Amino acid sequence: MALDLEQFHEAFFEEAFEALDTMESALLKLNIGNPEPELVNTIFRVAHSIKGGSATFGFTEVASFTHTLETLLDELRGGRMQVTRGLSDLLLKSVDVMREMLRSVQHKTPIDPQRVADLQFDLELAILQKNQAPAAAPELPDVAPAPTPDAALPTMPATAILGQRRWQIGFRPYPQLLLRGNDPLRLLRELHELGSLEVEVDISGLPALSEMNTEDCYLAWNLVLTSEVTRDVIAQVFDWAEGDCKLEIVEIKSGLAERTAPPSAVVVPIGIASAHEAQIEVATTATLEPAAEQGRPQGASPATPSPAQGGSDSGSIRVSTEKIDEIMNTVGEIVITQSMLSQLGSSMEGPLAEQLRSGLAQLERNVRELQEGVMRVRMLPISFVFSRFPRMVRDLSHRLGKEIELKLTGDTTELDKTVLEKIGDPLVHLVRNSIDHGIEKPDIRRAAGKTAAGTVHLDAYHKGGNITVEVRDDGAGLDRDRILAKARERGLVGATEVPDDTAIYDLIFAAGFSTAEKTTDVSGRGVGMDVARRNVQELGGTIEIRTERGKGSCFTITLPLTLAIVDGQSVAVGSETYIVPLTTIIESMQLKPSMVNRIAGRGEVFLFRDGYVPVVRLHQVFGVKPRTHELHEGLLMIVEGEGRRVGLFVDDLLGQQQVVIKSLETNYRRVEGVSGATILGDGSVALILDVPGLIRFAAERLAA
Amino acid sequence: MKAGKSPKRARATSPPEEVVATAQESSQPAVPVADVAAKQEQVRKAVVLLAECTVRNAMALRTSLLDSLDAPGSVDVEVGAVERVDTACLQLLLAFVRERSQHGRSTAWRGRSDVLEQATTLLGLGGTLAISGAA
Repeated sequence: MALDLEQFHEAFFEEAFEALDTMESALLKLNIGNPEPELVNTIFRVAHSIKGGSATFGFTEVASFTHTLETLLDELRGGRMQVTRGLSDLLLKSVDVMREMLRSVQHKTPIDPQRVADLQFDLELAILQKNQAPAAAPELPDVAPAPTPDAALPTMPATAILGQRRWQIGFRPYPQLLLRGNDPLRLLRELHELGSLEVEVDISGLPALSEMNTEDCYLAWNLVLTSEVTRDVIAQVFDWAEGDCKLEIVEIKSGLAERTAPPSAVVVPIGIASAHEAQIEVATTATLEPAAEQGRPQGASPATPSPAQGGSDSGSIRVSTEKIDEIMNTVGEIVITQSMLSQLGSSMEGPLAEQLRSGLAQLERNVRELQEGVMRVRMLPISFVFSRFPRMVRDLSHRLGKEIELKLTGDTTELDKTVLEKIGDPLVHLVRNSIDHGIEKPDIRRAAGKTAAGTVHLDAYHKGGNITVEVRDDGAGLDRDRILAKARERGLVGATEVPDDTAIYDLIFAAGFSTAEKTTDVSGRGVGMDVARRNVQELGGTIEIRTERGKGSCFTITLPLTLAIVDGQSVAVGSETYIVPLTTIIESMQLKPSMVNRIAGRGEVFLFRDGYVPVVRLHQVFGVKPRTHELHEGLLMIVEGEGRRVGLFVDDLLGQQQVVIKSLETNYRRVEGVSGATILGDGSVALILDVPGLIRFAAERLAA
Repeated sequence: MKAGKSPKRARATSPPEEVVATAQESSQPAVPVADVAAKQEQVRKAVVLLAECTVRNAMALRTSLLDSLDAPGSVDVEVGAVERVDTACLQLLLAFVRERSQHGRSTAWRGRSDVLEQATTLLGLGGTLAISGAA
């Protein structure tokens, strides 16, 4: 049967990359010398799944490499090898290589064979070196390793204790099972680990030696497992043998003849197509015994997958982001339609108008709930980003000879997937900066009366409609004087100018600015921090610095929860409506003519709190005919972006509303000063202002 | 005859670098299994299993087993070096032992490998693969 496996490739890659992340984090948690069996099992399972998948899809390089890795992990799992620092490094490197290989296969680019071969060699060497440890088995006089056949394996008590169930497992591999990287020996060993296993092998399919194909499997097994585990756990052992074997799992109830599969048992050969359906749900059908004895309501369909089945991992399904975006888009349209109806409804009169309005209010609530619901679907915990840091911190601290403890808190805090994808790089820069420039070397720390190990703390939490991510370290803090000196040297600050602390600390975000005495491959080139800030700003967020000399620094990133919706203030300029994101607004005020100063050729400024703020006339920026040109007749909205403020001159404030952002770039082209557009209740289009962009525009004009 | 004198057997326990070389060579049929007494008609035949007794080397094992299949008297299977084993190789051994016993010929394990013992037990082959009457 020619089955087009390509359709499963993407799912495989996606799962494999996720699995590698799991493997990496498990490796990082692994105790040197005394590894937790659960973690080792997790790591092993990942390698095993990837091997199985790669073999199934014909990614031979990946399968071969993973096979070696799996062999090593199996040694670890069996306690025949110790976890050493070197080995854990080797395993982490293997994760990297596997990731690269999978990426190469995914994008159909060539794999670097040397790198793979080198590492594979190292892995093989590690396996063999351990094999040297116990001296070769002594030459014993003829030993016939003939344990009692079919006996339950000695390590497990065969007696059934309370809560234990007996499962009859019929496992009949198809010939290609071995070729796909599945070894029955391993599967049986895994079963054995679940409880007491009785094994009966069926060798009737075994041909004469001369007729055997070494890669075909000719044996079959009838197993009885006594264990507390559920059917799902047993089925999971055979996950990667899907389609390569016939499997029956039947619970044996006491008093029933064992090993005789009841004729009514439903046998489902596991095939790829049925992988996510009722896989191996079999068994205790009504004819087997009275339903009451099964602890299961009569009429419960035996073909119904148990709750954990299929979604046995997390009870979740995989949905492409495109689909979610489509729904999001449609919900956006509904919001627009709803506000259109609301506007219509508000102008209705007559006996039914009140009823209509209450219906519309109900609709508005429902639409809002729907919108929030869809938004939640797009939300992912920030742990997706945080998970990369343990590895990074480990590697960096190694290289820099520093001792660093990484603390992650609030990693379940959720934020929009788009924001999540873009926040990773800025955070990497900040954490790197903290490790390289913040945390001191152990001897310096000790001399300063601190613990030798520095702490980098990543924290995420919701605050208002925003998400805040903090990168805190207990290092040296920023050196105000050194930054200022460097800035003067580079002409960023005048020789006599004395900026306030905030302005000085802000300088570290200037492009090309670095106080590092020497550039390392970690940081110090002066790129990075400015990129970090730019990325954050592009997301509509801000970065703030708090620092205390000798005690440490804290970088606080504040981001909108989502990029799809913005809380905006609508303002009128002439016949046009614009949306100003609420987060950028400081204050709106009416000016008196006396408050405004003109600077020849550079426009107007006005006194706001403790400084002068330039005025940006929106009608000039967008070429719109305004209702008034007089500043005191309109309103001034003071907005802030990138740490600077301007006053936007508008005709009037209209109201606050949540608007769905439509990309102008996708639908039209990029326009300076505009970050997107939205459709208003009356069907007209309003532009959403890009406040930082407008401020840059004002600054350029002032500087001109 | 002691299979332990086989040069291959000695290599399997040599320092790591060489062992790797062996493992790599072992994909070629001639390497993993040594037919120690091929030329001496009066001496019992022996099949030596290498450390990596898995599907990678199964082809070579099959060749060697076929070579000894019709050997009169008893054939020794030297298992002391086995560090890893899988179903592919075990079923070859199984077919070998079964066929020999069907023709009234015996096969004997020599040496001891915990890995192999555990594997045969796990697969339920302990009974079928039990070889008695080793010399």
